Amino acid sequence: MTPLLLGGEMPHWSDHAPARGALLRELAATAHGHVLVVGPHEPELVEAIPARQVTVLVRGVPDADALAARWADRAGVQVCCGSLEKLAAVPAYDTVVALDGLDRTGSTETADLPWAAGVAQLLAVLRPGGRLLLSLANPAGLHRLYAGAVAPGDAEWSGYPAADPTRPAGLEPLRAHLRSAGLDVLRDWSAYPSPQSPAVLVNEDALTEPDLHGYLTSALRRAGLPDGPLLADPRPLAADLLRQRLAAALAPAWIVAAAYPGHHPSPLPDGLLTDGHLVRTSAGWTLSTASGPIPAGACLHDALLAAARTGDQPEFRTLLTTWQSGPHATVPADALLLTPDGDLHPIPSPSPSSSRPAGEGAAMGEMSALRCFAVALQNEGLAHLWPADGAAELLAAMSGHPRTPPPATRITPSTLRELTASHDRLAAQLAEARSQLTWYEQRTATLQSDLARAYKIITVLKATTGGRAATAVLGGVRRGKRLATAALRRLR
Amino acid sequence: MHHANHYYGHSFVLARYCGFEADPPRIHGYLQHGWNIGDGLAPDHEFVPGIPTFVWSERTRRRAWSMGRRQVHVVGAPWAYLTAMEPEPAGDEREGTIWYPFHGWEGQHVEGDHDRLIAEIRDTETGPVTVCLYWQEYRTVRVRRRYEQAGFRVICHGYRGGWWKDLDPGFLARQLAEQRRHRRIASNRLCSAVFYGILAGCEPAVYGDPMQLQGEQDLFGGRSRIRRQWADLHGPKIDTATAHAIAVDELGADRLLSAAELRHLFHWTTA
Repeated sequence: MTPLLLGGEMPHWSDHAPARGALLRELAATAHGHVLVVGPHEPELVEAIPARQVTVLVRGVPDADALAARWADRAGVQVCCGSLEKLAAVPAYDTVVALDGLDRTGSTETADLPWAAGVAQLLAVLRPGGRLLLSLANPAGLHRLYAGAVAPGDAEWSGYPAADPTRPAGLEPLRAHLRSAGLDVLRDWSAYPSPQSPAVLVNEDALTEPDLHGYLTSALRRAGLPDGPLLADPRPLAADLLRQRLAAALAPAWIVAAAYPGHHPSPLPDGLLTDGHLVRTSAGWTLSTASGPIPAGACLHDALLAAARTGDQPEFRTLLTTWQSGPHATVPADALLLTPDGDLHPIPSPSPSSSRPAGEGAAMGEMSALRCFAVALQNEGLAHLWPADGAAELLAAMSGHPRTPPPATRITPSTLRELTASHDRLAAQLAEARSQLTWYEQRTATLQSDLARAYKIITVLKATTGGRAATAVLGGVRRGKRLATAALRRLR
Repeated sequence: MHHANHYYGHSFVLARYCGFEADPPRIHGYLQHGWNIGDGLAPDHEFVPGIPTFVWSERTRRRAWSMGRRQVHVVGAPWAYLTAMEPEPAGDEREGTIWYPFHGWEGQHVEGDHDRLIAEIRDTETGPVTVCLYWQEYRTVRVRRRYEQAGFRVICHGYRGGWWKDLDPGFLARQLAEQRRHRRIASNRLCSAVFYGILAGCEPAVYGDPMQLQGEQDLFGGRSRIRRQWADLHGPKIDTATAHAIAVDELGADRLLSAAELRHLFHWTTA
């Protein structure tokens, strides 16, 4: 198969880090009819589309060539290469998938297409009743607020996309834009932790539902870190984001499923998570992987931190004991829900390791759940309340099950806030150690001078008449003792 | 900085624009010297890290950025500065076509059928034809004679200079004067000369056997991409307004810098 060159294609260009991951693949799998995939998506995502006819549009010729070679034997797949504006505005598709958003659909060869014009282009190729799956990265998303300093990459040849006045400034403006274009918004999701590879996709109703705060805090904590260098680990903010109703506003991206009016039989879940699909039923919020509604409650990790912060030692000890003496002692605290009646519920997870980001998962696996929590105490602003060494052992003792947890894997924090905290902690420890050293040195010096003084007194005392007499008596006694010992030895 | 900065007297034109009367000072950077579809510079160009590049158009800047180049400044083509400095005198009559057969550069050889090209030119052009050959072809008597025997006027704008030798400060001025004598400009490949001609007020045309260089490699999509991406500039008759807009874009004629700005970018502080 040879890619179809539409114009504006870039002969030297290849897009890195395409839209990817299990959740986006699940969304792509809902596409039907003749499907158009616009922008960089991992090939596995395109392969998850059940439709017989799929057209893929990318802007880099090497990418198009690689995809064409991959699907050389797959009938019904067409690879196009060029910029979005060159796509013929013919309503030929039943579903348009743009899960990477529109920011990577233009090229160096064509003028930058305003966001609204890009969407209009996508809608122009949708058939009546057709469905659009569109992602929009949030320039004020948590991933950007916490982004470290990086030099602009080769892909950033044009202006700052967020400055485009046609780009919706939020989830509701995004929905409003699509509605005004004649579409029904079937479902929308806030995506965490990064726009290209979300591990949590949840709609706004769920994010603002108090009964789900505990579960979603856990989900956001377990979603991992955004891509790229970070100023701080955003996960400790999860509970506050939900409580302050900011989780949708600060989401790294929003994904919308919208459609021209028509019959849309396949219902979309309220949330897609690595734990399963989140669905609101008459019985409450449920996960597709578990029976019964998700229990309301708090994420144990945050409940423990809250008790530690307020200095509520009895509560902290109770929670710790409940956790460590129960059947879920090896389950990390961020994967447990604490219900109002004090019970702990593990969160169903199809594969626990998959809910951890790669790399971190391996490191965490070597640590016990308790050790993980001990590290969190240090990293989440409670270092001053706990000993720097042996926090996990102390926690074990507090839980009533004293033991030595496996040693911690040395993890150098990769984020500036945690690195600064770690630095401050080490600096404080060093200062304390120096103070202790000074104290011991002073103490030793005092003892040495006392000892020298004592020797001098002894010497002076030995020189007096009484002292000499005493020395002679002592010498006689020692000599008598030696003779007696020798006589006894001979008698034996 | 780089000897190619002086090709075709480019640095002299910019020095004049910046108010220098004598030889141009050294440009602190690499100046694009011909239209291309890559990063603006020759494929064999060697870069020194941290030295800026001065390209003609915003599109070239974007492309260069995407190829990892940084410190890329859009300054516009020296030709655009020249046409701005020397507006066309009113009332001059234009006649015929100036035709630029595709040529190789130093050390390159063109393979193609000149006779067939001559026939195509004859079939298309209605007025007198001036064929402008590159200095290599011009010196090749066999090639030059063919065009002369076809009844065309054969000229050469001169040697572009190289390695700081035989520099020709008047190259572009001669080319501009010659183009302004003609109503049309044509070539068998879209190239700098065609864009120059459009800016000089000629009606453009690109037609005929495009020929090829010995062992020519199609970098960045090559000939097929040029035909697709600039399809509006191909054919014996082209919409003049469209062509003008494209030429302004490609030569950066709408992005010329002030003399003060250019002096600052080039580190020309003595004017």
